[in-house]
Amino acid sequence: MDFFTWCMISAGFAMALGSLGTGLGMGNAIRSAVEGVARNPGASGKVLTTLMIGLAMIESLAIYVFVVAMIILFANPFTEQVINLATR
Amino acid sequence: MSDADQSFLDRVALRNLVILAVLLVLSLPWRSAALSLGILVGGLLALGGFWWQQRTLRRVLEQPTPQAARGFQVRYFLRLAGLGLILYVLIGRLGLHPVGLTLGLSVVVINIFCTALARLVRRG
Repeated sequence: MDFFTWCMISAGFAMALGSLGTGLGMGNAIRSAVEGVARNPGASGKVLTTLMIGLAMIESLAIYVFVVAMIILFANPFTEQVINLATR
Repeated sequence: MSDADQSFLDRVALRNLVILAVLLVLSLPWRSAALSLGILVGGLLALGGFWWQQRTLRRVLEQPTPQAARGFQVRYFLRLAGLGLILYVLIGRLGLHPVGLTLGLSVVVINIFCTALARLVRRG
């Protein structure tokens, strides 16, 4: 397989693994927060603050994975070297 | 939400802006407009996402009805799709500096990390 096929495969795997992990993490966080608010509605402010901070951190991971996948596909720093090697 | 929680979130939002400004100033010695622009755009995207999340989560937890939860889910996916599209255009079409963009997108993470660290130090 050539370089660009590997790029496509790695970007796809990065997105799949990244979104799987962050999706599970977000789902768990929201479930726990909703259960906490249901048991103790008075603590909704504290739960909301913590949930928001946690979700922002988890979501950043997903965004990083997406940015890395975009870099692999569209701004790969090794593309020129590979093309030079191929045309040599 | 209590005043203490609200003031904590306001402080976090303010610190986000300060960290973005510091990153922008630190990027100036590189004299690279692409890097500074990447940090600025990435930072604004991160701040916008944080602000949107705060608004919608508050609405859902204050009125926990099934309609509100469904609306939150739909808007959340729309926002993520929009963010993905914007990042694709910025990196794939406009060729914005990827390192700058990643640094800008890290504004909220840096802020939360610093806040957690400061609290740990304060508590000893």
